[in-house]
Amino acid sequence: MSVTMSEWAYKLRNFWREFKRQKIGLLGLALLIILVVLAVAAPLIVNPDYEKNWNLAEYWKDNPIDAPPCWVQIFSSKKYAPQRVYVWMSNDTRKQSPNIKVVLVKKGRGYAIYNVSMHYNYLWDVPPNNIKLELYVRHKTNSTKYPVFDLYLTRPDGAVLKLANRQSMTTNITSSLSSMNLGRDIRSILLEFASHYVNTTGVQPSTIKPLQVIFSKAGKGMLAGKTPPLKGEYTFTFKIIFTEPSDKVVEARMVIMGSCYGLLGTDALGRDLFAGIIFGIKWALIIGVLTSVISVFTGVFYGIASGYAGGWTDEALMRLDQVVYSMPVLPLLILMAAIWRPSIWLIILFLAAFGWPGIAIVTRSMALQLKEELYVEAAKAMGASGWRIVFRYIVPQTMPYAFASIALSVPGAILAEAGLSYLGLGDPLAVTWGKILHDASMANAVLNNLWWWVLPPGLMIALVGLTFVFLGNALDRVLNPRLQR
Amino acid sequence: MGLARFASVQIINALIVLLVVLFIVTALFTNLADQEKKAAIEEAVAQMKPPASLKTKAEIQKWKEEQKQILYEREGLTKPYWQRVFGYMVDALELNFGEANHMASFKTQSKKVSRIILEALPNTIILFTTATLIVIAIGIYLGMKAARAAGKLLDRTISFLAMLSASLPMWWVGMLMLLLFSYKLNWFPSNAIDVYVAIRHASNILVELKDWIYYMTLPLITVVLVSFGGFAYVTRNIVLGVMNEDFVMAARAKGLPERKVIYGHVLRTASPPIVTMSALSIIGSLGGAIITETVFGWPGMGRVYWVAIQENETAVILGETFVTVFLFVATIALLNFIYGLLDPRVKVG
Amino acid sequence: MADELLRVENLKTYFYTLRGVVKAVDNVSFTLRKGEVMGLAGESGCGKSTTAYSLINLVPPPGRIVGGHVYLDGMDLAQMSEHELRRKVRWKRISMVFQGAMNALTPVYTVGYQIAEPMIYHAGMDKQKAMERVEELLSLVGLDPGIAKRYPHELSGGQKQRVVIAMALALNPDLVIADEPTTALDVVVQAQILNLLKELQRKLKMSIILITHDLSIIAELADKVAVMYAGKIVEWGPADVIFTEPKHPYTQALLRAIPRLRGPIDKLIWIPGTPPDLVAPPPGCRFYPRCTKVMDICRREEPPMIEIGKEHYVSCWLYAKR
Repeated sequence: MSVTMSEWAYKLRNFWREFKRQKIGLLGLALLIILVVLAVAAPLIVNPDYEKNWNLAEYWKDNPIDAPPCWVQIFSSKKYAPQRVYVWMSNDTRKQSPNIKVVLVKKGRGYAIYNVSMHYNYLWDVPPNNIKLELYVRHKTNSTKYPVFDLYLTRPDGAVLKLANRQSMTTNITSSLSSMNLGRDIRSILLEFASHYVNTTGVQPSTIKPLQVIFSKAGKGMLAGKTPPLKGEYTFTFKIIFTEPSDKVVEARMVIMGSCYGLLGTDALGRDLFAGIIFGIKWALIIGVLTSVISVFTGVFYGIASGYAGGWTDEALMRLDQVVYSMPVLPLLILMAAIWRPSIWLIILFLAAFGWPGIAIVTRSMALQLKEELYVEAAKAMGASGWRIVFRYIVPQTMPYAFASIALSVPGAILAEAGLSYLGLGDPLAVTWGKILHDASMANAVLNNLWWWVLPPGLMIALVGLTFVFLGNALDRVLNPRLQR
Repeated sequence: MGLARFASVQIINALIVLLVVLFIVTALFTNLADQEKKAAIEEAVAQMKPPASLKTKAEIQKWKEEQKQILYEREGLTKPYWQRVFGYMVDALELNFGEANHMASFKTQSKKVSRIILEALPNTIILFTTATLIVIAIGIYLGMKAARAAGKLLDRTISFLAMLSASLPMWWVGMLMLLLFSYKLNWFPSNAIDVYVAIRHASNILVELKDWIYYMTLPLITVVLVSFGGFAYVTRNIVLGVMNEDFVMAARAKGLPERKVIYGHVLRTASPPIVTMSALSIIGSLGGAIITETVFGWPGMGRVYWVAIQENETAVILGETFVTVFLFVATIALLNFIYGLLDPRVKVG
Repeated sequence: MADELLRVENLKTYFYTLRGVVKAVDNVSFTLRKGEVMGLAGESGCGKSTTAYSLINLVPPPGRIVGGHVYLDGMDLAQMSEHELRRKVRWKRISMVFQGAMNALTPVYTVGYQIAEPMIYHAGMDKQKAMERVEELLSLVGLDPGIAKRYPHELSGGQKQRVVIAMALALNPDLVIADEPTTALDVVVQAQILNLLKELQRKLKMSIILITHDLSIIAELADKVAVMYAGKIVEWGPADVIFTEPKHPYTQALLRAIPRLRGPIDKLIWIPGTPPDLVAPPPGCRFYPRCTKVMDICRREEPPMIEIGKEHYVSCWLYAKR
């Protein structure tokens, strides 16, 4: 029957009362609210710059690569070294970390010797992913009198390793321990160091993992990581000799790339995966809901039009429906995406363009039944136009089915887009969970057992899907009662 | 209506759909294929050596243009657009798809697109048909059990599993399977395309079969695992709906053994919608086959499609699309027909 | 009683629903002879169909038989196991003719097969013989034997009803329960079916329990009538006596409410009020809120079943000798 405003309010209250009884619906609703809140509050939870710079490798260079989340420590007896960045800037006393000391050692005619010492107190079992040492110097332009430096590493056990000897500083230094070669490959230096304690004949420098050796006690098995961790104060000292009077140290940085990072670890680019997951929520919701709403409403109106019109129109519309229904969506979607590289909005439209036929068929049979109802005949006898009858009598009765269908279509849409992104064909600017999984697959995350990269995105896809399935299920039970319980 | 007439209606419908889709895809593709051909011709012409008689640059240029035109004509690029579309369509219907640039078929390494597809198709069918059969068997069994014990633990578990399977990406579950069973535990291989290498060393047909099973196990388990929940749930709903019908009680009143009532009357009446569901299930998993096969490296149609897209092999893409649509449409037609067989209300009266 | 076929004693069937326990059949007792036709009359919801289904223990959950006895040839059907009931009683001794409005026929099998089914599975007949008997039965109910090959959706309402009757007769039962056999049919077909039933009963001499709310049908067919109200039998006895001298106020009101074709045109007298909620029926006589002759004791105590004539019983305080 047709409905007025106050009848709507009454129906709504009734509906809510019935809905509350569906436990699964309430669960779905709760999950949905949480997801929406997280999506909207994303800029507060995670640094929004992360999203803008997601594809910029440069931005993530200080983060460890392939680092697991830090809570894995709870399940292991070993402690993981956390992420730390120590900065010292000459012109800003507020940005001078106590761990970095820049000291003038000796000054003479035409030269000045500075010690830049960086202190790292290592208290853990699993050494950092990497340590980056950066030294920025102001050098007189066009002068060939470059500063010269040595670099020493002092270990807690008193051992001193010379990592660089009389190197000319033609550019600023940005070197990380895992691949450090300031005149000499760090691995050869470490091999030499180890030879004092173990037999190193036949050992190739390329097999040595610098961070493992540096942070382990010296002794038998030190090259294989079999010795216990060496905890204590480590000092990296740059001894710089300036021969150009105006030269000085401008900035020094020591980046400790943690062996663990954040809530969900990092990927091969060092990107914070927790941030990625959070950013993906809004896309999942947008894609799912928008696609479903468009395709369901298209389907409903198509079905009603076809059913109500009847005759040849109905036949023709149903033939078209059959054609679209029989087209394989995913292969065509993949094809289209490969050729045109569409934005996410085009993908949504494409998905919606294939999602309506099933809905149309059901709605059409509803319309066929409804148009035989007596009140429709009565309305026609009173001179109501076709449009009026459709909108006042038929459409409202298809709404319950429509709403349940919207909820139930969301998971399919999300899965389709996720599949597309996984293949690398999604919108490259949108940080979706499918894209994260695509990156994981490209970086062989499965092969390398980087479970924190592979598990969360898929779980989130499933979670959002489940949310809408719960909702749709409950909606279906309340709005389309069958005598089944 | 009669069975024959019903069947012919299905077939005609299917053909119409096939032609329409073929037309749409071909129209879209002709443009792309043309561009490729033009580029290939440009390259070929650029390599050509002009005859010694021509000296000036202008003359050489003119000669090259002429050569290009000759080649254009030969490849049919000068004909009007729609004529070419039609030409491609006819080719497709004759199953002549031309040759690939770099890709080759799995067994015989042939470049003919029809061979490439022909050798990949059975693999896809084996994997997904086997999986679907297993899913149907498990699904009907569990679905009926759940319907008879409605509201109890089994029933609720199945409902939840169904919801889960509607939300889980099949290919992601595949990734997890690989992570656990292939890389961590080393029980199964990680790249199924290696099966062709393995069977070359197979001494007899049984060993070859064993190899196939070895490579197929993980993808098979993945597909079944993700699909059975949904199937069982819909079976449960259908069966439950039928069980509440009056004729079920009537059958019991007639003193028929319970087995006859459940399988003879309930399941039999429920079979038409279950068949429809199977159709949708197969089509659903086939549609996602591309991604699932890519994850496992399974040498089927999906993987061929994917590689073709990456390598820009237009001929292969066109051929694959045609065959895929044909399969889809044929499956739907077949299942509509089976529905008609099972439900007398459709074909008679 | 001589040649007694069925004796129902204090039958109770309750439905355990979310709203509470619905006492659909509350202490129902009656007897039935061989070859006798008993009409079971009452408004919708009074428990007649449930009583019938209880006889062969086919009450759908959440209902079940909670007490009482159903004696058939010395066996108590209410206590029998499902297995035994199926083997010995259902369709062999007691069969049912279902309402025409119901889908008593499975849509995917031919009607011939469905009639033959109990013969094949129950009585162990071979298919050939069973199909022959099917044709016999179809002729018996006035249908073309060729109909055996048709599907239910191809038949008209009247044809389907005849099929259902043929089906009920398949194993020559002693008792046929006919549940509203003519309700969903138009008047002309109704008459045909009634005549058919009369003829069959005369020929085959089986007992019939005829369940209906339409007293005129009972008048045509029944030897005995039981009137039910709110889960209880309020009056039962020979048909002619009940129709000419009804004793219970409810029976009287029912008969008064039937419009007559001939005679003076009076106002229709109907019974005000609604049947009670069977979850919490009123104490005392269940009819008292609507009874024109209600007395004080009716509100407090349930009336006993009193014999006031030859095999004529009534449950009403008006006739209790105090």
